[in-house]
Amino acid sequence: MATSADISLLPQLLTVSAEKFPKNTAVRFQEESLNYQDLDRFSNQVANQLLACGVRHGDRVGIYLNKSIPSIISIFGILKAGAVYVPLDANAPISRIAYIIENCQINCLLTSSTKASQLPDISAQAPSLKHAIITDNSPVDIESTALNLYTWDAVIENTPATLPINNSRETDLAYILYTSGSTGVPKGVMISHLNALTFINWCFETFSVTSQDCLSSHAPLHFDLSIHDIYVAIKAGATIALVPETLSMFPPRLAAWIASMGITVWYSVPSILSMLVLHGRLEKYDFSSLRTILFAGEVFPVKYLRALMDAIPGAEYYNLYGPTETNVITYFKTLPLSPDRTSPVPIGKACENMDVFALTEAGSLVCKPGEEGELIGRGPGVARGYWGDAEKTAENFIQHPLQTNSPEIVYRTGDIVTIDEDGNYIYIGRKDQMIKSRGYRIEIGDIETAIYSHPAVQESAVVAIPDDLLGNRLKVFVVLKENAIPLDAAALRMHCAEHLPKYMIPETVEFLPGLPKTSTGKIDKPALQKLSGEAK
Amino acid sequence: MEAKAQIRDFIINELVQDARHANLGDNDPLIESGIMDSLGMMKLIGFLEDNLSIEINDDELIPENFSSIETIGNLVAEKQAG
Repeated sequence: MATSADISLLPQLLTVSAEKFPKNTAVRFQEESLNYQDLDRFSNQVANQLLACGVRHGDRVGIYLNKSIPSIISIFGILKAGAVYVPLDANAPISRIAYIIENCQINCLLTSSTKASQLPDISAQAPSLKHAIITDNSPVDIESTALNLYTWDAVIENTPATLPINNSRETDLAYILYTSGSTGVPKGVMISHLNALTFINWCFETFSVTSQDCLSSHAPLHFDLSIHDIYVAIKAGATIALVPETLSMFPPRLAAWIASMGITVWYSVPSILSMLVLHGRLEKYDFSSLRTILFAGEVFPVKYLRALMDAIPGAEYYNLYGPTETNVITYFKTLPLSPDRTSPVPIGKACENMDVFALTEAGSLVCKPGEEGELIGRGPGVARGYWGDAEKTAENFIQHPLQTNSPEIVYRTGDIVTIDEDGNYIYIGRKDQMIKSRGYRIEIGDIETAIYSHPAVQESAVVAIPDDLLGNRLKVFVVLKENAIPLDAAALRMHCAEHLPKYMIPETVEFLPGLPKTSTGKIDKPALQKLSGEAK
Repeated sequence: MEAKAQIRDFIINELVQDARHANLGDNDPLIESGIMDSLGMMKLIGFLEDNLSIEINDDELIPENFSSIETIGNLVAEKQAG
């Protein structure tokens, strides 16, 4: 049995805490909860069921579930089988789900009875899929499916509850998170146990998490913010409180939930916190338990951050920064903000077990205010690359440019930064076409590819319109082909919805007779950006 | 056009993105079906406030008021009457 001193694999976080805190609540969701002992046992059974389905060390297993207690059991079950979990966006269109399943050759997935009706369509587009475990006991009625289905009852009643033995090593993959890709297909970021534990151990120490804590889990599983909530809580023997998805729509209810659940550590994208401070009626609730508020994924508009710090003065506030490819690599503890401050808080300095530096275009280090360059991350948190894409991996995971005599792979973030007098990095913008909306990474090319696939579209260009609350809103300009079938905005958005997750669908569509061009014949995006500004 | 028809048009044209929901009825669920999300909610409130001359209070931001076209229509009617 591993002890906390020699944990080198993610599932050991659970086995050690289950030994120490068997009766502590591990997960809470709505009216349900599960203690450590049961989470440990059920996940052993899922692992044994997966092995019985033929899953072997290093195989990818999908999780096609809305956030729920079974989704947490599934994660640990897959890891205990020595396999790699791939969380699928439960609200994404079927074509995107099927693409990911085929891309990383998922043979088995865990899902729910409510999602089961989509399985025949998915398996028709993704022939690698052969097995599905339904993680609840509601009846499933699927005709003529090519899949082997397993019920939850069968897993709980018929599989051994002992921990299977596998030969996983810390450099083996633990999970793959798919993010938007610039060429129109998502790319899978490969994270090893060591990568994930680098971040988890840092959070555990920095935020002094204990078995008395209750950590919110707001981000969906395919979003890297979820790594903190799940594993830092499990390492500490603390409780993960899963935020019901619909609560984010109703800020006063979300505020009441945070207070009544006794959340001690909250982590989300800033837009949720902005909504809370604007509409949550925070003055009505007691937030004395809430000691730490973490935010990441996009710039927090300083006026909303200040208002939040005024509304919940007892908490500590941290801005965390890092792409999925490194997880969090810098952080900044936010001190009270002066009333006249308008500039966003810095992204700060490197986490203690990672390192960052920034290089100017000329290749020299950014070391004083006024200099700008691309931020580069190094250390044990740097991912293994993109699944099945050696070319893209080589573009972004590069040999350390200042250390030519000893091999070390570092990650180019594509984020342009400068530095302040105290050595804190300050985010300026992107060097490519990636944007953020509600914390999600969106490659403009991914959206344009989907729009171009419509037969009536001659030309299109997507622009991002900066928005205080969301980071960015998306607008698309479209030129239709001559004699094309008539196409309106609603029909074009529905076409997008067949290919893209909801957060990537442009909110506004404008049809133009032609797009403005630069002297070299390229689409003039700045002109379109200006046009969007005038239209508002 | 009556308020409920305007709400229905707005939801179908702006929020529905899945062909399966193209024939959305007044009592069909908006939240469980995934038609509404936090961004959609903000857009809807903006639409109601700008086009139907009402102001939604934070206390009214509860699932009961936004669960279907019917309940949103009732909320708007109540506010316009009051």
